[in-house]
Amino acid sequence: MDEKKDMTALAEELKKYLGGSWEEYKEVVEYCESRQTGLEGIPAIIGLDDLTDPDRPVYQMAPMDEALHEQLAADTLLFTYLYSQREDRDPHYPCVAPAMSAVAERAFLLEEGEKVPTQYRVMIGQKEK
Amino acid sequence: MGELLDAVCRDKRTLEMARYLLNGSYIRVVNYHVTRPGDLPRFRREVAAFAQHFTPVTMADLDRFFATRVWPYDKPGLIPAVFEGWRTHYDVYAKVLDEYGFTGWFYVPAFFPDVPVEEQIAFCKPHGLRLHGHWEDYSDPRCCMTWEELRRISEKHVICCHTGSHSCITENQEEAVQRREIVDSKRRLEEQLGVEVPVFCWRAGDEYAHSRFAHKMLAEAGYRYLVSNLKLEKIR
Repeated sequence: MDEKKDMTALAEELKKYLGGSWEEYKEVVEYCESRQTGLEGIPAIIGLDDLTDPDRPVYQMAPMDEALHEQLAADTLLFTYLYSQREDRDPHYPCVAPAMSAVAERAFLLEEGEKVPTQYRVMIGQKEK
Repeated sequence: MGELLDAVCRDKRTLEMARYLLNGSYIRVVNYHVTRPGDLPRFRREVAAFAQHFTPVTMADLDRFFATRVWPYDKPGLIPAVFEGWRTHYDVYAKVLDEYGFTGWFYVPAFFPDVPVEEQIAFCKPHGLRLHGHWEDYSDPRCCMTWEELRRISEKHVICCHTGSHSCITENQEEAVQRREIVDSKRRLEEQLGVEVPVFCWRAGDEYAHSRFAHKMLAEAGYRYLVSNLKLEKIR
């Protein structure tokens, strides 16, 4: 099977699973690429890895994250896929690196009583909800 | 969903990151470099939002989180990560953090504050330090924090070692160079600040596994954590 076609189909399936808009994901990537990384606060999500005790990989998070982490994981795949399609990306970094910033940008928090996560730029008052 | 995850994640690190997220083993960071005075209102809005929705992360919080695997607060943790040791960090951003009682992590190239003031701007470019708008904000050439300013910041915030001179440390370098950038840098920070510096971060944000050659140096120095673009790894 053609690998690119295969990846596109899988990404479409992930999109359906999330109930999200493909255009919305692309808009987030375009926004992230327009930021001035030397002058702005750039959100990201990083993994925690205990190399001294790798047999206990599961953590109990704050209540907000218990409701959010599956979506963040799926978003990681979608954004990594989108970055893999960009011809202008920095080859020094793996696609997942900018993807983790896009994941944070799209769903930085889940406010109490809300079902849809809040974008980072909405949280800091740079964009209306 | 499991099949999709396996199929999509052809880059090992992508699957690894998705796994961290599914396991709840992650933390939010907001990365800063130059924090210019003109952006003060924006920084205030940002840190106010951090304080409203998140909990700051101290070294004690992180140690406890790794020990218990349970985040002890109702709000998730967030680390404002401030890179390169710029003067604007003390003059602008640290003051905003202090206004809101929020802890920042400051990643400092350990030998940068020792560079004579008149040589600091010339030091930046060959060491990959990208300075923005200095002469619009200051009338003198000092662009790095002083040791006294760093000492004040270390009273409320976490100081991390960002190599000695913001160098790319490679496998082919002499051992003496690697030791200077990894081991001596930590010693210099601790000597000047009087506090433990438990966190190391490579210039390019590489992971622990990427820098296999330097494991000996990281152990010799006594770092407990390594922060990269993708992970915060407990190494000791």
